[in-house]
Amino acid sequence: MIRTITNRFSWKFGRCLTQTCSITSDTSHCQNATALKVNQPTELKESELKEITNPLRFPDYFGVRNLFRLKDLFDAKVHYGHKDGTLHPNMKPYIFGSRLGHIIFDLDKTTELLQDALNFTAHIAYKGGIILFVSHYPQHTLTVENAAKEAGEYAHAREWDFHLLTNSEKIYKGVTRLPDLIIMVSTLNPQMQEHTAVRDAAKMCIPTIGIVDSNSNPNLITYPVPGNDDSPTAVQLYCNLFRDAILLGKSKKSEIPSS
Amino acid sequence: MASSRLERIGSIYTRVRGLLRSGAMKQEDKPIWYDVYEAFPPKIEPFHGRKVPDIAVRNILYPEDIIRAKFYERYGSSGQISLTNKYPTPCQNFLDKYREMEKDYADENELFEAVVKVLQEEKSMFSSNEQQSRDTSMASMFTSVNKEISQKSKINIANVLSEK
Amino acid sequence: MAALREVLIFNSKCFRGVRSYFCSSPAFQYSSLSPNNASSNVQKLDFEESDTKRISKAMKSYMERAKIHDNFIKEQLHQYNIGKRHLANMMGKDPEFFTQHDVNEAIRYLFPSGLYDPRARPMMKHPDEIYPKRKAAEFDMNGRPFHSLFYTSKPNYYNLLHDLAVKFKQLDNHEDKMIYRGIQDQQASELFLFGTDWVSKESVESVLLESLTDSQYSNLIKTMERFAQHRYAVREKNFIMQFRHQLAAQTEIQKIPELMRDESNRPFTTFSARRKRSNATVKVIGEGTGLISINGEDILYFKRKQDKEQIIFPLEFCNMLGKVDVVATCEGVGMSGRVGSIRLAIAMCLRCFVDAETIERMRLAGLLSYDPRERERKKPGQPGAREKFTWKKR
Repeated sequence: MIRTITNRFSWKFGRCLTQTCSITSDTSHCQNATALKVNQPTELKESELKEITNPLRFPDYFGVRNLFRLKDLFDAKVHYGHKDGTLHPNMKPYIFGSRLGHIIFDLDKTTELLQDALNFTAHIAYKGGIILFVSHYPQHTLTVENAAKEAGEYAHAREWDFHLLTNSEKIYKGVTRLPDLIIMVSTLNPQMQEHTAVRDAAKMCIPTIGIVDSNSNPNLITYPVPGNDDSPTAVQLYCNLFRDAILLGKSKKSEIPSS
Repeated sequence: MASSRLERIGSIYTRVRGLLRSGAMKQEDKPIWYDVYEAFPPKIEPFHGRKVPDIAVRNILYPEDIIRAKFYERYGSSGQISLTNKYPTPCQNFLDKYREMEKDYADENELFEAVVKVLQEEKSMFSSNEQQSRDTSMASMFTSVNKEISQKSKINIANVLSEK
Repeated sequence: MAALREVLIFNSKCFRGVRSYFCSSPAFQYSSLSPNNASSNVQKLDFEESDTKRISKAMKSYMERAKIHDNFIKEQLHQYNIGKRHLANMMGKDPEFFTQHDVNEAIRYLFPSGLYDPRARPMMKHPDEIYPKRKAAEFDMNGRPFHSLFYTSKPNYYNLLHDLAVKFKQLDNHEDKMIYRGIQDQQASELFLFGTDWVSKESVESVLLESLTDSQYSNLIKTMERFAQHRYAVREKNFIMQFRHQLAAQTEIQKIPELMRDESNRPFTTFSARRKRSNATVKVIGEGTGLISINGEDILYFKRKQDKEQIIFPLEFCNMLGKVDVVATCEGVGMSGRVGSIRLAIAMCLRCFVDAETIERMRLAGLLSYDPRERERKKPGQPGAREKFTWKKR
């Protein structure tokens, strides 16, 4: 971790890291960064300080990588895919293999991708973006809506009107700010076709995070997270993780209101 | 009626980048996610016509699968297995025992029989389970009943004859 | 006069065309559910110059629409006040104290209308009553919606479904707890829904301020029905009753008069009923022996068998035959009318002597409802209402 920070910042910036740490002391990387502490504090220009404290310069500013471990995914049955006959060819890089006709996901890859997705979510929440949870599975509606409410964000876990994003002015009866990030808890609708939101979000230039099961198409999903999207335990885990990531992003925002 | 197929062209990032460069989108209208995307781009760029990777799906098999297969061949499956159940399945029990006793036997069949014997001794229940699991199908139940009947009738006739 | 006409015509137009326009028009929807009214909301938006940049496009466009709407309402109110003064002058009253009631009277007098539907008749009402209340802005300055289900486009409806699901879960948990403790609550199992029905789609819409499709409404009712059938639904009785309304016939039946006592301390009750051209007054006296007296005679007052059966039917239905005495007086034209009125009056009286369940059975049997059928008039050129003279060629 130290190496990555030193690579990213020149020594000039390295001096200033002490100040960053005072702001973001609870995250692991900053605890590491205290190793770089320099004795003589120097005065800084405001713009320079802003540049250094920019969260985008840190690989994991919000500490979302500590939210879960691989074992949690395994316990929540994230690794179970569908039968191998339904495998989408573009999902091949994410799967570990086929166990007696059932796809098993490679949880190492899932972990990495989920961490990226959580990091992205936290950054969007930090910037005050609108995050929309989307799902079309009746059995997960309550879970998804609760997660959105707890995170102070938005949910659409019901039947999807075809033109919700593309003709929003008419649907919402007026000019409306569209979401800045869509989290698809499952990218298929109950008819096992691709959810309309995936296509429309890509059309409207809205990034998507999607839990892609072995039978879904990951092509249009900006941050795909391969995993089981049917089991209640798995869906509960995803919802909790994304909720926590959003809350982490928002808590950081309230700490530093100026950015 | 051809609707918009914009999503098939490039990715969301390349499209917005193009708009920003050409000046069609003003800098202040830049979407929130743009900078974040630049800092943390996804591992694979998300565009519509992505090539299908040439990766073969491997079968996940373990050496102990042979023992499992033997076990199930002889004793059959006990039906559905609850994923929430914390106790090991009969097959897993068998396998654990098999692993324990592996060193002492050279011949596989001998080992298998020995494990069965040990487990039978350990649990008197095991044999009854075996009986049940073997005779789950209707056909087998019928045959067993038939056998019993024929045995009984044989005994009866013999008895009658001997009495005469 | 001309000005009044204009106002009137305009207002009745508003009722038709313009209202429908507003229903489908953009931001104007919310009323009671939203915390602040639209006009006050616009006034609240005094922002500093420096904040102007941060206001989202959505908010800007909303504010424009709100401004246009406010001006429009102001104009309508002005016209309404002028019209009211004209009417007051015409009716020779003081315009300062001319109320809406006076306006309605004046319109009825000056523009008599025989149109059947009251909504089709001319009217002049306050613009607030004619134009539906619109939703206040559903998002803040940054364009962030207030409601977490805003993007479903029907947040109030889906929030109701969400609440239902949450309550369902709570009841399930409670049931689990009770089972775990081994408590079998017999009283808990019955939720008394007799005499009420689920509210109509229109009233759900008016509460939610959102228009629902038929399937959405039926989904809601199905969910409600399942919820009401829950073993512990009684715990959420108040919530369920919000979505049920009293049946009109039921409310009348529920007004059961108290039993009175006569000189010999026997309980009795009376009721007057009508059918066709006849009316009857019946006194049913409890602790009786089954005496029936009609205009001083016994049941043989009616000659036909069917008429006698009609008198006996309510008594037999409630199993009160031989337990009460009936004293009836009837007058009017026609035996079936007389017997019908007596039957209704007896049935109504018997409500005092039986339990609620029997009353409900009587209602379902049609014993407690007035028969509105009337004699059909005779037509010229034929001997009766429908009957024709025998047709002869020449």
